[in-house]
Amino acid sequence: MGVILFIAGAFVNGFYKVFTWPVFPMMMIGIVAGMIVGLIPGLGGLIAHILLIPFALQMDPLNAYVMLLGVYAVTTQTDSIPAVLLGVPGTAAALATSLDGYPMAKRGEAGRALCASYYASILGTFVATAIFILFLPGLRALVNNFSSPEFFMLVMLGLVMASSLSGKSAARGLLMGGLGLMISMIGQAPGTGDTRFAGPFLYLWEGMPLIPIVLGLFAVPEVIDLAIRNTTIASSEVGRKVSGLWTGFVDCARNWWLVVKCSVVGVITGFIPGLGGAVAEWMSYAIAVASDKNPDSFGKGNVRGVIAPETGTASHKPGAIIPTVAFGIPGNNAMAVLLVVFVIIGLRPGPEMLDTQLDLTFTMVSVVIVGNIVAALLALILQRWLVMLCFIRANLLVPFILAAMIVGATFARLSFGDIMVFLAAGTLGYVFKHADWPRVPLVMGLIMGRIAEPYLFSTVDRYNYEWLYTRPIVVVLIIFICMALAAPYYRRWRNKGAPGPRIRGS
Amino acid sequence: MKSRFKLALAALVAGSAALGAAFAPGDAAAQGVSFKGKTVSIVVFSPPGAPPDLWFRQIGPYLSKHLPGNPEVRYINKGGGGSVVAANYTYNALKPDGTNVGSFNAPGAAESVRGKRKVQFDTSKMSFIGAQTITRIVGFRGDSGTTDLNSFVKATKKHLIGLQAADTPYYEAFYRIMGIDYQVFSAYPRFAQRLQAMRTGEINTTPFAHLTWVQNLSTYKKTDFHAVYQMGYMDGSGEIVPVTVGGMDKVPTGHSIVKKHKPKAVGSRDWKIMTSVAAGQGVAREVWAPPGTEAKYVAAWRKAFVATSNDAQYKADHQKAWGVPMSWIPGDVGEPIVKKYLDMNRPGAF
Repeated sequence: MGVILFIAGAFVNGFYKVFTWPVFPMMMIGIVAGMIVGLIPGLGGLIAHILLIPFALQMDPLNAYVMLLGVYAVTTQTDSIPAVLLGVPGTAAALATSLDGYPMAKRGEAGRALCASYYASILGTFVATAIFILFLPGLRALVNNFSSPEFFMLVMLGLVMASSLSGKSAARGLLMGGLGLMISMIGQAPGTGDTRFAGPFLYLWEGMPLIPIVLGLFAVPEVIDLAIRNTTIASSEVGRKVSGLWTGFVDCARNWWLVVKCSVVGVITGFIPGLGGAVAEWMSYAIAVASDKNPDSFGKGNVRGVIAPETGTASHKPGAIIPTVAFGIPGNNAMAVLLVVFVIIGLRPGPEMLDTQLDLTFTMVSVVIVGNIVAALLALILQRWLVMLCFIRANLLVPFILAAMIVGATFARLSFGDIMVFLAAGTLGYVFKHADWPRVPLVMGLIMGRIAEPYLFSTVDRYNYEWLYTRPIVVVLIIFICMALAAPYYRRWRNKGAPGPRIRGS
Repeated sequence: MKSRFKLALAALVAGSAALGAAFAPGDAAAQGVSFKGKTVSIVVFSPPGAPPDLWFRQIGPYLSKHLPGNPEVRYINKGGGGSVVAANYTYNALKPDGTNVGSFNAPGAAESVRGKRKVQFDTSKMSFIGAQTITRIVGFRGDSGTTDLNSFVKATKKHLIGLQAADTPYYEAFYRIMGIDYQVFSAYPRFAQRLQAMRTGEINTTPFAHLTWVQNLSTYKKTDFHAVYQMGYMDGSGEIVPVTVGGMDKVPTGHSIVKKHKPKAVGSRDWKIMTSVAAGQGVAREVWAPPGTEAKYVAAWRKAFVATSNDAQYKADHQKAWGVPMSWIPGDVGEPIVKKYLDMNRPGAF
């Protein structure tokens, strides 16, 4: 009880600091910068961070932390706006949201989908914070039990969950997941540094770039179809009148148990270093599908398909701060960049961040909480106008979307190769979409393959094959993987031959 | 005592050369150069946000201050290919009009002499501006049984070493010489993953960049990590010497351990392999001008980097940010070191 009181006290102190001068305005600068950048598909928080780093280096450490964390807090929240309204997921984190959010937008329910996503983010952050305060000591112990075998199996679980969601043909999903894994092997091999499948292209040494592939596979087919139709995105006029403010809230309240479950997933995956938001998002999405009475409705505009990934991503974020500041091990890619900046500014990661400096750690977590709420409120205020995007004719909208996508796909590396990959992925995405081959497992294979392969190397080198049956967490994860693989077949058997969950457009 | 004298002498030589580069020939050679109203570009060999990128972004305003005409500094990030992408770009894409320089790391530079077809640059046609010294401090977990040099030499427990692929030959050669049982794990993609593996005991030793070690010294002490030896770096005299900042002078180099405990191995093939890797640490983060850049511009850049490394405010900023003072090897001092390093890495050098 004493420990919890100490943690709660540190949280109150940390939370209070966010509202002091000049911490609060600094955080707002970060939030606004993050929101603007998050709206442009593909740019993500990194660009906003890079723009703000020169200022951060000159600032008082606390102000610099909150400004950069303000960006971190909101970019994955605003990237759901183009994902829902335009079907353009600018990051891997917005991919799951777009699967059900975009069909809702086409139905004229963009406002409802966006509001559900904002409320899910807010609730997810609150639940995640409560979990922290209650279970911080246990979470510390959990991190200490995660070595290469556990990391590998957890990533595999994420991949299998995403792949097995891909419809009546789980085989197609797994095949596409395998293709993604193969693509992830392009570039330098972990362990030896040898280049594989790179041919004569130096460009491929670092592997295939993720953002041009995500934008190409998912956004290009939507834009082509929109251009061919030459209509507005939303065919219904209902959405123009209903902002969805209340409906989205009711959706979240009705699905409170889903929010709690996805928050737990987000916290755990955030706390375990290196997993990234994509694992949280897809595990959450899989939970939503698996626990729904009508799994067939996912991919066609089921609001639970928006709530679950948004909750998972939002609750993942505060969690990822802890391993970064306490162990110097970034919880995700964004935190990897922030860690270097924080260290330059003066932060010294160490166990004292969970002890004598816990209030500073909670100030950082609080920025994410407040940032999420502020961004959601701002987005709700702007909602009415944002939704109008769905009612602009294609011939006016498509050139702007295309331009934004090309900027987003190439901005990070300024490479001609990125444009070529974007175009190739766009062509493949169009073919896959219309040939009904799921694209999500391909992207997940690409993301997860990069995380999993080094861990597999290290695991086999270090433990031979004993790790498969001697490590309890690994055994539990293997059981979960088997269940995820068997789930579509079990569901089909239970429904007496009816098709399994089919995620349209995935 | 003798080695301390050597060290002091080497430092004196390097210091004199630095001063020389800063004030005498550089001043004359850079005459008539002004970047007023211009923007100068630095090609950075890492993606935005990675440590090398942030290091260059931190030094940028000071370079602007010390370059004639105080130009704006912009950064072109060309990460990838073990810094070969940045080297290729610097060599082929940058205009040699004096406003552009590029960076790559020592292993990237070594690629230029290995005859690989993806390498499209030739350092012999480029101009060396200078380099930052970064070496490795090798830390051990307390429960590995190795906490100091004595227990290292007498080690009976297997050393499970987490490494970066590029550094692996050094450690393999060192362990072969010392006759200590070891196993290398080089698949960890980043330092963070190795650190987690150290914390959980999956590996019991791993190298740390000396900046990282000094920065986090108190945390590592609490975590029961111990600095046992370091890779060191090659100084102007061609000797492998230790970094001395942050109390690291008490941490011996692998070379000095071999000299003391396995003297017969000095000069062996494994010794040469160790030297070929350690030599690159002195010029770890290199800055080059593209081929065809006029000497006066090269001199201006060299002078600006040296002046920055002596700038009191920058020194304080660097110390605060990275935990150690900036250790900059000026172009004329570093040139022979780079040449030796590249010669050691030519095919058939062993």
